[in-house]
Amino acid sequence: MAPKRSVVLPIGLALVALLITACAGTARGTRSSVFETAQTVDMTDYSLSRADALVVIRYPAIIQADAELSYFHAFSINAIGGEVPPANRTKKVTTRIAQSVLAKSNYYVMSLYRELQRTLPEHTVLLSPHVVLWDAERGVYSRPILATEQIPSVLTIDFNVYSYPDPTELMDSPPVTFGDLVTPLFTVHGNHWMQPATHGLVLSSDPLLPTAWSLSREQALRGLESRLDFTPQPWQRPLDFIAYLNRRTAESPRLPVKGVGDARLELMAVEQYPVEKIRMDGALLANLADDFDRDPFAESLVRGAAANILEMLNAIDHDRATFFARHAALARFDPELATAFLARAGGESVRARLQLAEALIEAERRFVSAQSAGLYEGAYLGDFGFQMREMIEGEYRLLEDRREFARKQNVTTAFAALALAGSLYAASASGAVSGVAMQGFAGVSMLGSLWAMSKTLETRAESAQMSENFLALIAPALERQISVQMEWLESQERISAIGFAEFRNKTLTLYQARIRSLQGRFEENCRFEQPGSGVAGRWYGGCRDGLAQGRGYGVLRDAAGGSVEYLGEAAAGLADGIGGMIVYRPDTAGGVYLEGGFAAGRPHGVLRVDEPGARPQLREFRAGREVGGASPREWRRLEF
Amino acid sequence: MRRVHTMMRDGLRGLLCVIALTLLLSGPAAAAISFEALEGLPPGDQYRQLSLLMLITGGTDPALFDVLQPVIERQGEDDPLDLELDDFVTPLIRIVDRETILASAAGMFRFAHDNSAEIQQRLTRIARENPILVSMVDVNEMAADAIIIRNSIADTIEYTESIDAEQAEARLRAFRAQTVYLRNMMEFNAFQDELNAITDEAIVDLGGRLDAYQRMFSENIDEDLVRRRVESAQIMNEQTGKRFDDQAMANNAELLMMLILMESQVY
Repeated sequence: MAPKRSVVLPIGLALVALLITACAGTARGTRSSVFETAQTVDMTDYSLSRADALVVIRYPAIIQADAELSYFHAFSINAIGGEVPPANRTKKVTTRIAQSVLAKSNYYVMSLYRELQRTLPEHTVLLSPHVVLWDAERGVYSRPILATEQIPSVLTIDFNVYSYPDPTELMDSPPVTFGDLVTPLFTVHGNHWMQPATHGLVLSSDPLLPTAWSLSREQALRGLESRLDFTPQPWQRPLDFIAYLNRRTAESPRLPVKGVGDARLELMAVEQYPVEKIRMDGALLANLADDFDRDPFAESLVRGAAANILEMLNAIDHDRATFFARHAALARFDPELATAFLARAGGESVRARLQLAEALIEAERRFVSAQSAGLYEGAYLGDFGFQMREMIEGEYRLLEDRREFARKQNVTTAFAALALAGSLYAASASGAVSGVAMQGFAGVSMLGSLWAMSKTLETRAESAQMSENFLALIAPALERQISVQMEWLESQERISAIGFAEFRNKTLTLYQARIRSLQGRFEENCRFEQPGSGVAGRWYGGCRDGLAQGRGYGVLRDAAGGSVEYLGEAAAGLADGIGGMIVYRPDTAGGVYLEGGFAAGRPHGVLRVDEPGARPQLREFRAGREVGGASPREWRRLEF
Repeated sequence: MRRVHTMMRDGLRGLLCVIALTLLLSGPAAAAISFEALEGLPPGDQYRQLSLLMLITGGTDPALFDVLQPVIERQGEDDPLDLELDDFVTPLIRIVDRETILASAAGMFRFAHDNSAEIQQRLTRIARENPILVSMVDVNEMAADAIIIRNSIADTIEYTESIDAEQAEARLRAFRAQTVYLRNMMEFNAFQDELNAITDEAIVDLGGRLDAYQRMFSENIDEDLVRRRVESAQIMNEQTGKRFDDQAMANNAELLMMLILMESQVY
């Protein structure tokens, strides 16, 4: 494996670029996020399972050396907030900005982690750092470093900060993360059964929406196919941001969207989070390195974002949201039990074994939680965090100087920033100031740029040390197979991190020694059918004469690319009784969800109907035909 | 971990049943069980007797009393249920005399059923007043004893001719299912203890390595870390005094949880 480099290693150099880029948005930033409208709420968890995490936070942490060039290229091509001219895409400053995005994401994500961890029950908020990779087939992609995403979770948050790659586009005030300015990108998603109409996608930053939608759809279909083929699900969703950089997904014509917080889980649409350049409270940044009791990022954004996440968690049926993730988790070490679980088989033998298995997953969750806490300590409370705060404080002071300079010269701040950037870039490139616009400010801006250069050099030295410490702190939390080259020792000493695999071996050995046999068997080739589909699907559950009978889960896919998933009661191979059914058609954006009574494979009785872009409705059906509205009292819901 | 089902298979089964029954019935609580009789025992014995009684009778369908009624009536003709303790001194007598055992079992079921709330209150009170004694109680050991006695009672019902087999079948199946449930709870507790130990060890190891790496790259003493260690030590010292109280209440809570779960099972 090619050596991995810390994303913070070149951060000093990146500062040059960031100084330039940041000045683009020199002053303008919003002081109140759209997340601020959320009220402080307490989280209520009625989940029956002890195994689940509530939130997994994914973020880009490190990049493999082989992937850097491709990542830089993708970063410049797929800019958010504008199009970078081809001539500017290969500049070194762009690569430094791309590196800084990863470095700062490592830091700012910890604010979100800490805020959620403070509010939610112990061991229910987990971090999933990703390594950015490249191969010829997939292009730039990411995969998790820890086993976090194997733990069932109600919600998954993708988080990173962003800076526009082209320092020449200064006057347009593009998104930037520098000093007191932070541009966060989010997506929030879960299992597709949580909200079938949007494939489980709950919220997305505006530019990432088509990619996030496409990934959620792919995740749902891959899961469906693995259950159809009776095979494990090997597909790992990359970070939405990295997938966006790799291949900008074509705009889907009509995705169901709504504003942040609007009719949450009532209107079946994705909350669209605008790109916000948040301006943090300067008073909290002026002495950030020494006094960080009050986190400026938490104050201006994260607290509101966390309150929104809590509201989401309160609105979601956790057992429903994690049902299939629990099945996947069980299938990893006990396929027989996983099938019984999917079939929702009763009986003491299943209950007792499930209790052991869930305890095992809960133990893994505790272990991953400890790894997450280690990451937090390293990246926020440790040297990395300290020096990152010093850097942000320095950036802020520089930015304030430019703002002051603009006020004195009676020019717009952006123009003043342009002067700084131009002179700095020109000075560093050729030692000469050029450009008509700069001539009037050459003296002042040169002074500023020299100061900035000297600061940059200092920080550059600090950043090398910072990267070492970061690696040292992160290393014990990494998976066993990930080893880190300790560059600062200039040796080939490799430190193997304590392995999750080692821990899992011990717990699985204990599990194997303690389990008893399950009573009852499930046929592997039991058929599930749907009127009019013309194909037979697979049924997990009770079976009679090779056809679905009793409780269980059925899945099928027709020749046209449509699919049906059903969880509930069946008779003679067809949905029959109380159940929930997701119908995907290739020509529609999301899934249609039906929950309630079925007879002979068709909706029959009172059903809840969820469609993309619409509010759920209770409708009455007769043999598949809708005959009118219905009262909630007549509706019988599916119990997970 | 003790595996009860294995023990049931070996030749010691009868002997264990006898010993277990002796344990249960050799006190005044056995034959004519009453709170007054129990109060004469040391707190630890009281706690054990009451716990065992609840675990043996927990989750029992009251309809099982009806099944045992003919035995009680027959016993009543021969002996008005005022068996003295001495009658139980010889284990052999109890094994042979199935109806006597069943009559005593019926008495236990009825007493536990009629006084469930009071028994649970007493258990909690004893745990609170005698934390050191109760902290040493092994709930799983008691559950293992209870399982032996429950199986013994179930087997006796099955092989007692005076009991209507057809009438007893469904009740007996439910009673045996409850016993399996109790066994599974007991096994889960043991599993959870071992799993927690493995997890705690792995987490401690993780933290230790983290600290070691931190020290490698810091020539200066990490004052913050030292301060945290000192504070941790102080907290641990403070907690030592509370340990017995906490363990006693934890044991009691575990026991009560077992009872609640057994009661919540459908007959």
